Amino acid sequence: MLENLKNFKNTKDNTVSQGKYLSTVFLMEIDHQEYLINIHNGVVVDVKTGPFVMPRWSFALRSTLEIMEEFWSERPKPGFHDLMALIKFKRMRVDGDVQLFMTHLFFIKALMESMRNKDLKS
Amino acid sequence: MTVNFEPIIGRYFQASINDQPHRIYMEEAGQGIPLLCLHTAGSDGRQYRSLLNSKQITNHFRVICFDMPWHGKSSPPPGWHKKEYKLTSQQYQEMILSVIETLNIERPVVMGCSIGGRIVLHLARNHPEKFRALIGLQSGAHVNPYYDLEYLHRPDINGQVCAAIVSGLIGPNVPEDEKWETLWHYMQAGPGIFKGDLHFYTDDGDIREDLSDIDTQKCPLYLLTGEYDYSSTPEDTVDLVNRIPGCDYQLMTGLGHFPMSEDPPAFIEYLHPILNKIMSQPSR
Repeated sequence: MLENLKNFKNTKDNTVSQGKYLSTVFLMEIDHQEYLINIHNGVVVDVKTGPFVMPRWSFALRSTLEIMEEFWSERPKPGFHDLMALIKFKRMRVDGDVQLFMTHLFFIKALMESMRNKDLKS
Repeated sequence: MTVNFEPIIGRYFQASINDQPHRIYMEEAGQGIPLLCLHTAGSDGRQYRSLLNSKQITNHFRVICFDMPWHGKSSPPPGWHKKEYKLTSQQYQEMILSVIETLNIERPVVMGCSIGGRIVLHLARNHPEKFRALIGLQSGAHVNPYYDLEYLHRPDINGQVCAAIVSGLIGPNVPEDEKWETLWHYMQAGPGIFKGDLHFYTDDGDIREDLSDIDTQKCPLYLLTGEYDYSSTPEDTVDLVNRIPGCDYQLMTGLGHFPMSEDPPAFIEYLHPILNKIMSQPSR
């Protein structure tokens, strides 16, 4: 489902381009389905679909399919339209190396929003 | 070549605030009823650039915006480097009253957004006789922090994290240029200033227990809140309406936490009915 993340282009956008300083693997968990997103210098080089036996990751984003489908819809409802909104209303949980998540918040927001209005079945 | 000057006059003034000397930057435009505008945490008076440029408003109101100490072009007081900046409700009220006194403004309308929307509730409770009316944008009685505020002031995290955090508070369909102008202000804040303002917003400025002391007969209170604001939510403002008899509330569809800056024309549409009511109020 998250294969489309590989199409995210680390553009010359001044804020998103800061992603070139991010190389990590993070976990996305949607309704207990796990995905490992591997980023190298701000480029998504691999998306693996779980379950995993001994996964290694820096931080994890956990939510439900219902919530993420709303977040990724063309015009999400208020409170579903932003990662920090999901977090505030406990619709998403972030754990692990939260400092890394906060350091690259602009990039991670742009990455996750790149799935907006995409076919989630691909 | 003709220079396209805006009608805004910017200048500095000296003021004693909280018993310390301050150099404060202000901008103003227009004539009429004084309308003092308070910016959000970690930003500055540029958020009101479009109000200052709106003839519709400045034909009837003298719009005045000052950068709070530590913000924008206002300097911090001498010795700022020796202690952590933490805004309190007492300091914030004293600052506003000092600016009004220094500038010889008589019974202004005060409009504040976010932390400014909170402080107008304190002003309504403690000093209603000093104001012609109060307007709260994104007002709520209290906000619990939903992330660790320490991330806002660390040498190993760039200060633009402040803009990254607030970016989603802006309505998702507002004009792109206004959105990024709004975020630019957040990227320019001094280190630790947004965090210090949030001390007032998330801790010291909690006014939940004192709302029943607000008497809108003494000073009219108008509230406007954007629907995409997940910090001071529309529900937070409705809670105020339920607990403060006589206050006037309007939800702003499509807007977020920075209405005057993220989509000025849409905001001014919502502000106009309030300004018209204030103009028709008998002046005491």
